[in-house]
Amino acid sequence: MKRLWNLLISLEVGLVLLALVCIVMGAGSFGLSGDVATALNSMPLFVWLREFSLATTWWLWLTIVLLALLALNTLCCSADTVFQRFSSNAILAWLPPQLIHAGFLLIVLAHLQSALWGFKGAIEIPEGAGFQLPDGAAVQVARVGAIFSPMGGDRPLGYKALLVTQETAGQGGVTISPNHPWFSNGYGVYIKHAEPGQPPVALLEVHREPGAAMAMAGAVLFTIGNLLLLHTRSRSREFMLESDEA
Amino acid sequence: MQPLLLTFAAFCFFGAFNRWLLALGLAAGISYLGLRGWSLGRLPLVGPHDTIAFFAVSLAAMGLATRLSRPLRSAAWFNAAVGIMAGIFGGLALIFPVRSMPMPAILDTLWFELHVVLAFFAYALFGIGAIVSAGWLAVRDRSLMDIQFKTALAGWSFFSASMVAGGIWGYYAWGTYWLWTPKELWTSILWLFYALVLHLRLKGAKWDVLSAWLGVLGFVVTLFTYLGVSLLMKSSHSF
Repeated sequence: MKRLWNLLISLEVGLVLLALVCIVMGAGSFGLSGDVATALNSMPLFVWLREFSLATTWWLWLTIVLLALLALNTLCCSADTVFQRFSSNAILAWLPPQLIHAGFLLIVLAHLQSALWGFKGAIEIPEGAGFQLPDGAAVQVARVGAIFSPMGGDRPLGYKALLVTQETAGQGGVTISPNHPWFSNGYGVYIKHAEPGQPPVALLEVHREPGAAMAMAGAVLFTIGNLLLLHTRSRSREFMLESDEA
Repeated sequence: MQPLLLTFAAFCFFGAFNRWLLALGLAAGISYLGLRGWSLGRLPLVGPHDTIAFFAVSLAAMGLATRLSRPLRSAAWFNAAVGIMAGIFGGLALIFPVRSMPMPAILDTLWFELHVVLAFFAYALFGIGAIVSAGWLAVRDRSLMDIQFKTALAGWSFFSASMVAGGIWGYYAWGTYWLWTPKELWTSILWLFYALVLHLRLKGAKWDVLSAWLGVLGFVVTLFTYLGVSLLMKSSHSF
């Protein structure tokens, strides 16, 4: 049992896992193009992994296994540090890396949550028509338009659409544009493109990222830990003192 | 405006032996970016010309800041290496055409600007770390490994913050904080790589040789993530 624990908290194991994840992801990146890449970004990860053959997905399966082991190693290392040093007064010496570890673990969990229970869908819809979100909420696309630069030019910088739903009808609807989606019950509606015509047609995407809140929490924890670590390490003069003594 | 960038590259490259010439070059580089931003009405962060120029100026700025640390104050080789590196990238920016197009709406957000600015500060620090690592391999002065660690930690911190800003931007722009593109995979590889470099320090001085070589290799991974993926691989997430 002691040997297993020592293996789980081993720094060497962590280093090897980090190196292996880099190598496997690097190898996989060279095959990520064309229809395979398009499909991967149009559905949750685990749906894609089920739909494509192992010859295509092997590197992502391997990455997931290695990341799971790395997460376990991170969790055990942090638990070991906290148990051993919890009562010590030098909290700023050991807490920042553990906050970073906690942030990393939350972000990994958030990815897992979105990969398992996320939703991605796309719809081409003409102005005046309606569609339903997966939870049944009805959305009408009242208007579709383009955004042009105030300095002129005939190429649009982006597109916009006026959405009218039961929720937004009182305010006359809500306009979505790039970086300004509309959210309802965890679903986000995004405008990707529009084609002029009679009537104009909008390409909308509907996404659900259940891991988003956890990823944000992880990012906040990570950033706090990172800032504390920078603060403590910037004051460390261990090697300068050593070199002075030498 | 182009002559200002040319002045930056020339002062950095040919004046690399002198920190005051390097500082003058940096002033020219910052002036160029400022004027270019003024003419565009935004930070110049789109397209190869603007991003490489921003990277080159960041390299000079981070190099001069790192030079303030005690072991590097009298290290002429460090000054020279920073200047040459910044000069090369400044010259490279000049090769690419200057494009003054309006910002696409998808990029018109503070999160995008934060994402890119922080990433280039990180790339620059990784470059400085590579120079310090190479210096340690040549002279074996242990105080240099302390600086290498600090540049890697500061660079990794900027890079982490850049990834957080990129994730928030992606969530509002594309509906997801993560896309499976070669650019994002290599971004993660770079982040994990420097996590490895930082953890390796816990192994102690016996591992300094590997740490130093990884510090050099880290800049190769950085350049591939920034330029290699954009130029050699098909990725929707590019310049």
